[in-house]
Amino acid sequence: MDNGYMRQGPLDYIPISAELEADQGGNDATVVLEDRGFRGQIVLQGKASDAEFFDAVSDITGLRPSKETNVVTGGPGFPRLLWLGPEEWLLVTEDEESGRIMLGLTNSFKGRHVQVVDNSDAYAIVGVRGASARDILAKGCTLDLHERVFRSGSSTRTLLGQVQVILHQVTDDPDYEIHVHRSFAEFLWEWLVDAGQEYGLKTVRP
Amino acid sequence: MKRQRYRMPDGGRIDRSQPLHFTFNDRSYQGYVGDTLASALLANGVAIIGRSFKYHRPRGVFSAGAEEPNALVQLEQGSHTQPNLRATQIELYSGLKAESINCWPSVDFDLWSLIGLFGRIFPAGFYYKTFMTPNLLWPIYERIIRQAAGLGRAPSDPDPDRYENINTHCDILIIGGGPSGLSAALKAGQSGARVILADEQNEFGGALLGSDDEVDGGPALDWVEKTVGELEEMAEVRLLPRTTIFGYYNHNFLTAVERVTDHLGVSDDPLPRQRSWRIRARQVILASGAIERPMVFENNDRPGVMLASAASTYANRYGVCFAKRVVVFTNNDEAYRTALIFKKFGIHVSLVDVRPEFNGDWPRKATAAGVEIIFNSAVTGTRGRRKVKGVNISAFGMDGNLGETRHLSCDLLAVSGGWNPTVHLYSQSGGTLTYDKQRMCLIPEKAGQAVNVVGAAKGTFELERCLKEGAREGARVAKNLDFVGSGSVRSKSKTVLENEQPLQPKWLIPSRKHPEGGPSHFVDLQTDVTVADIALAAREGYDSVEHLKRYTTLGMGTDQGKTANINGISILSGIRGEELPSVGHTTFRPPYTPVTFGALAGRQVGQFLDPLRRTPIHHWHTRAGAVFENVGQWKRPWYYPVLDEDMNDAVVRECRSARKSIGILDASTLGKIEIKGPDAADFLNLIYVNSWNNLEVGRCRYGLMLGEDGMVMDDGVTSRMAEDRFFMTTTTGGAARVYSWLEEWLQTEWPEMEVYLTSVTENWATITLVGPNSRKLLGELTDDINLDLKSFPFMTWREGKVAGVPARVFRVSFTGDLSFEINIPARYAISVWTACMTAGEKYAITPFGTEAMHVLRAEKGYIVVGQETDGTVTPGDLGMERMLSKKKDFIGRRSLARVETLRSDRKQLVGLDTEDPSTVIPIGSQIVATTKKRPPMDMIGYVTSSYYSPNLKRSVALALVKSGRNRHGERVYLPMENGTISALICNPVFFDPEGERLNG
Amino acid sequence: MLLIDCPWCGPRDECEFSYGGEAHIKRPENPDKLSDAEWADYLFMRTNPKGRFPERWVHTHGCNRWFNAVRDTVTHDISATYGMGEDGPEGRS
Ligand SMILES: [Zn+2]
Repeated sequence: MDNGYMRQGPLDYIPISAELEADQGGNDATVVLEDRGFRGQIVLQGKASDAEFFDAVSDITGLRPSKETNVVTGGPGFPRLLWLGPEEWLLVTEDEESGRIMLGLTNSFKGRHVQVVDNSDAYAIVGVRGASARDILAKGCTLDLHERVFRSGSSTRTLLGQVQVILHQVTDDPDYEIHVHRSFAEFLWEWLVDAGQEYGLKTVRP
Repeated sequence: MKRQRYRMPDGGRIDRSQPLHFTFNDRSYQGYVGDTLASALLANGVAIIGRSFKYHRPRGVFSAGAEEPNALVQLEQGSHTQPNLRATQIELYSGLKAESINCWPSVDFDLWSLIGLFGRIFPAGFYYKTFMTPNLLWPIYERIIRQAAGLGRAPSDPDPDRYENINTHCDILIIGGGPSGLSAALKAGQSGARVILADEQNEFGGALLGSDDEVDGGPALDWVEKTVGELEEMAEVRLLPRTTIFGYYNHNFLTAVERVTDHLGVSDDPLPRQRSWRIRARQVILASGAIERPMVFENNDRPGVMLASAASTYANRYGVCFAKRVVVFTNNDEAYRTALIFKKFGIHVSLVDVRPEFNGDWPRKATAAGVEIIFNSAVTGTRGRRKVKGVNISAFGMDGNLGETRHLSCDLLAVSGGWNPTVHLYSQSGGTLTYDKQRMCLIPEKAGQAVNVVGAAKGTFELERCLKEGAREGARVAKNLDFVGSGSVRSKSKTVLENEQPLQPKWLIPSRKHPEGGPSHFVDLQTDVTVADIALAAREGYDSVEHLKRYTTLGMGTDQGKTANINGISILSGIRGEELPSVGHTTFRPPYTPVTFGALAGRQVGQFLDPLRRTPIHHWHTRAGAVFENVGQWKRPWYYPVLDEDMNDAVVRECRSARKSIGILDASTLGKIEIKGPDAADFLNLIYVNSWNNLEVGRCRYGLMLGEDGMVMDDGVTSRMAEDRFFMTTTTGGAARVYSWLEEWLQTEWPEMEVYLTSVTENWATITLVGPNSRKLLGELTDDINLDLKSFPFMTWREGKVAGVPARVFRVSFTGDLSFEINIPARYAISVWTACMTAGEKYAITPFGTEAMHVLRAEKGYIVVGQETDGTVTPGDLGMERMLSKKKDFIGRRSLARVETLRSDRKQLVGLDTEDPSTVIPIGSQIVATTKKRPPMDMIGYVTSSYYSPNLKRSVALALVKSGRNRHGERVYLPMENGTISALICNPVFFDPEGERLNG
Repeated sequence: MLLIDCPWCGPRDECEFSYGGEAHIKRPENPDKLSDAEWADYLFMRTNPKGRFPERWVHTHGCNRWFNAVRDTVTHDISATYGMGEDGPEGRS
């Protein structure tokens, strides 16, 4: 049923100028802002002491939920498993995969005290990459983003431009992905565009 | 265009190949790149920069830095204008426009200065004494005072400039880029630590920029250049020139403002004008230097009186020498430096030293250079009306008596009373200060945070020791943070003079007329506080430093008394006959120097002031011409005007359609929480007032949530998805609060309960179909949900496809009519909405906004939490006591049994039936049982909701009224400004009280 | 602006947290057995000391966990943070 034309992404209505669209890579810009489109985003909650929960997630997704705080298992490819809290992870999958994985998890956890919720449409995903990405984020985020502290494979919930986000550094470039609640997505996008003005930020939609 | 009369042909850190044109008080002048406005004005011989705050006395440049009390100007015009900027810190740029403040009609001829001639009409405590009575005259007084006393003008237009802010972290923040700060930065940087070096000036070097010191056998500025070059190469070192650290807060959190493009003038550069930095530092090294202390003598405020270090700086750094004869007045060695510099330029210099004659390197060098030294003497006053023309000198012995007066003519009087360490930030950080009796100044004592002080800020005034101290502390602090790197050898300065003579603690110089100091002995140049004011305040009992400050305004100017406070408290201690330490000092507060509101606001202005939330259907609403309402951060459609409809027309049409045929509402903003676990039902029992054990899977129930104080905090429908799984909805405004509330109880009070919560508010769009035709329409959009009354009764939910999209459909109602809430994943929201609109065309489906929604629910007497409730309303007050379960405990239950919540005269929810059915009572109106001619009247309640109901063709109002439920049928009154509204108390359910329409 | 050491995430800026008032106040087992005055004591009365104060915080914009902190109400020094249900450095005051 999933007809592409029926879907609207949270950033579909953001104007991206033709000139910038033509410049698909935006490689000459010091910072590029990108709508990363639809993904599967599944919330997993289970007890740290529940070994079977860890095993089952591992069997179905190939990723073992991390007990180490604020890190990502997997990535930069998919799926990825983001630590959100001591009993909470966010499984990020390719959009087409999410239904299958969701079903697998739900079936596997029948009768267990585990929460599996498909929250794919709750967040937009915005990519920020390039040399100035860190400076732009630092305008609205109090995290220490220095590579000695927050590096590729780090992720955390935090505040960015007064909006709660999940921030994930995907690669060393740096390339960041920001999971922002859908209702705030346009606000945050415009905030990032404005913050990037002094660095010549470019916007791209894949 | 005037020639730069007082500019020396060479020398200094200005670029004579780059002239800049600027105007001051509408006259054109020329300066050079590297100038400040102050140095350029001095080079052009402009002596009077402004008029003083109270007496409108002419004032000129007094310092060369942040401590400047006098030379305040209004910079630029129109929306770019800024008041009270220190000319000593404004970097000159091409086209700069500045003017004097606080003078009328002009700075050279100021009518208000006549005040000075009529004597002392602004004594200490003047405002408190003079204008207190009669009260009625205050507006007139205020107008006069505001014109007479005051500073610059605030701009009245929006600020066109761009401001930024940025958060950053570092291992070591070094404040001040003078010799000690640079040495510290070098060592800290070499260790590999993340270092930030900030300095308020446009280039690093601090005091070295204005001196002729040597380091490592060469000019000190060569050393500065080399050091800065090395620092620039270090990847983890960030250099922030033009950056003032202005606040030092808890946990080593410091704020700074970087003047990014101020020095480029007015431009439309994409770069911000200023950037505020929020810095979290593991360790701070404070190398903020020292501020020279002035001497206090009669008429010490005349243009041409200047701090000795400033005079040196203007000569050395800016190549400005605006005097033919200089008198230097000092109580310490420092001023000999200034004397020698002027001598070097071939100027006649006399040096007046209050100390007895001594044999030291300084007097020897000075004498050899041809400086006339007058020991054991003091400057007792100045001459000259608009500018210093000469000084009076008297012998001034240890007994404090004055000898014969003689006159020396001069056009510059350079004064030096020693140094005061710049301890402002240290004090802000919670560090305590102590009075160093050797060096006669306040120095840091005990740190309150991770801060280390080096150099002059600590009372270390000798260059060689500053270099040493900086390097040592830079390395030590880094090592304590486990950064150990290798660095070059330490730099050395050989400019140590032996046989130095200690400072003599004399700052207040009597005059013959005023042996204790008088009304022309200025202590605070900016606020015009004199020795006489301090004496008066002390006599009147305001002799603690904090009282003195407020009574005299000492230190309350924009400079916060940087050159005034220490002299002020030392004069006070003299009057009290106590040592300075026991008098204490006033609190140092941020900001160190004034900060623009723009920089403080940073990015949080205009559209970025507060985040804005849009529903997944937002852009459909926009295209449909919806008028939006702000509901918290949400933008919600308020109403959808068609053609030339006004709000009233649109709401009437929307309300009628929803009752008559079908209305469609975007309810996506409702909070939604997935609750899962074996203890989920038990948990809901504790959270809600009603019981959840017996709710069958597939059914929904309305729940009421209380605070532990028994007051209603939220409501909503919760549905059972499975034995161990519930789907809770909350109010739009309560979504985040309720989710946190549930988490708090689970984590803090009942951690043993096996329940998980997940907020899914944003995942689901909610489309509500309302009205008798909603079943028919939904039937056309779904083929796997049986919609007939028996299969899908009120307060149940079903899963299926709507318009081809997987959906959860809830048969609940907020209007009293047949209604379906369709939840679909947000990405399909517009598709499903559009499908409803298309299929609903034949039923004249009508999108309605929040206003119509409120009318419809108010017709039914349905409450809105936050409108009918305000945190003081119990379920009983709302007539919902039947919902309260008696079989279980729940949050807030015990509070409902408190004497206070059981009172029979509590305000209770009622309806109001207005005498004139067309009268719509304003929401918030107060209700009385009997009217009086004028207020106050006994108020018995107030209106919480009030609308015109097109369906009932009359107004409907809900109200909270004392003992309201027992007063049905009673007449009450609502006194308004233009007449009184009369109404009967009635049942709050106005429409379909039998509830027959729920099933369509 | 405080720097609060979340037991899970480490030091984070105060703006990521929400305040929860005094720590170690247990909801009474059986509220019905309490007099109005005793219930009011649980509901409203707090120690509000000058000095070290065990209090609750939640890492709202982080790991979403509640925890306890001992903060000096004069200097704002936070001497310890520890999880819910754990004893603080001074036990449960
Ligand atoms: Zn945390």
